[in-house]
Amino acid sequence: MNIVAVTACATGVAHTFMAKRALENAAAKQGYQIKVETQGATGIENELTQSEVDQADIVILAVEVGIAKRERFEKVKKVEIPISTAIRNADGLLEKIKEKLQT
Amino acid sequence: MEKDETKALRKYVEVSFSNSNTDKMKLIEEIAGVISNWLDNESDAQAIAKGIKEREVLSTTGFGNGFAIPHGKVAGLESPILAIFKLENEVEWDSLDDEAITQLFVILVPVDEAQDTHLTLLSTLSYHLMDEEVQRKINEITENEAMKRFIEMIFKKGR
Repeated sequence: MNIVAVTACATGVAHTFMAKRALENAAAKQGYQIKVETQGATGIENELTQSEVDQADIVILAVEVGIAKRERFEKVKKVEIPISTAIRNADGLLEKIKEKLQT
Repeated sequence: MEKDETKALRKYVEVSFSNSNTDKMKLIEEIAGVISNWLDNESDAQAIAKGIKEREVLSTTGFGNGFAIPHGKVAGLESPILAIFKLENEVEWDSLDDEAITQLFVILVPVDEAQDTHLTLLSTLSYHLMDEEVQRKINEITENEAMKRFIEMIFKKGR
């Protein structure tokens, strides 16, 4: 499974990056490819290109606030979750997504 | 250049903090007072507590394994600071794993964030705090200076 994600939290310093780490760890454990863009206090980092978005199997939006450049995700399969879900249970989240994509 | 940046980020550590309060909000007020003293009243205790509570009510900063990363924007603060406390008495924090916390990494930033370099360091820290190996090492540290050195080492890693 090829995943792209965006994380964005209110202050943009802590949860944004913790969610990134949690998603990356979970993806590595389950053998998936992942690229996580962060939108935080320092701006957009690791920005996803339109072609990366189009080629992904799923887009995960782990956000607490509005995100910039949302147009990129208009035509793709996505799941939007609270950022705390990504931090608390990234493993479970990816398993659920895998299940859903298979049905 | 990296060394100057980490030196410029103000860090305060207390590895054996005897907290009088074990209620989350009261504990925040208690540490706000301590931090305000460390800063020679650059920001007063109320402003610090307010900044932390504002963020905390949005969603918990307790992310598991006894760690919490309370943070906020504080009026009067001149530049970002990192304050680390190891609490002697655990506190319920509504953590994501429902466990009480003893390790607090408090991050305070000015209301007008002009200092990108410090924010980058603080986000790097948050990124690595999610790692169990890092958490294990932090659990083993019992001296203030050792903690500061460990944090500086983390800052040198990427994310």
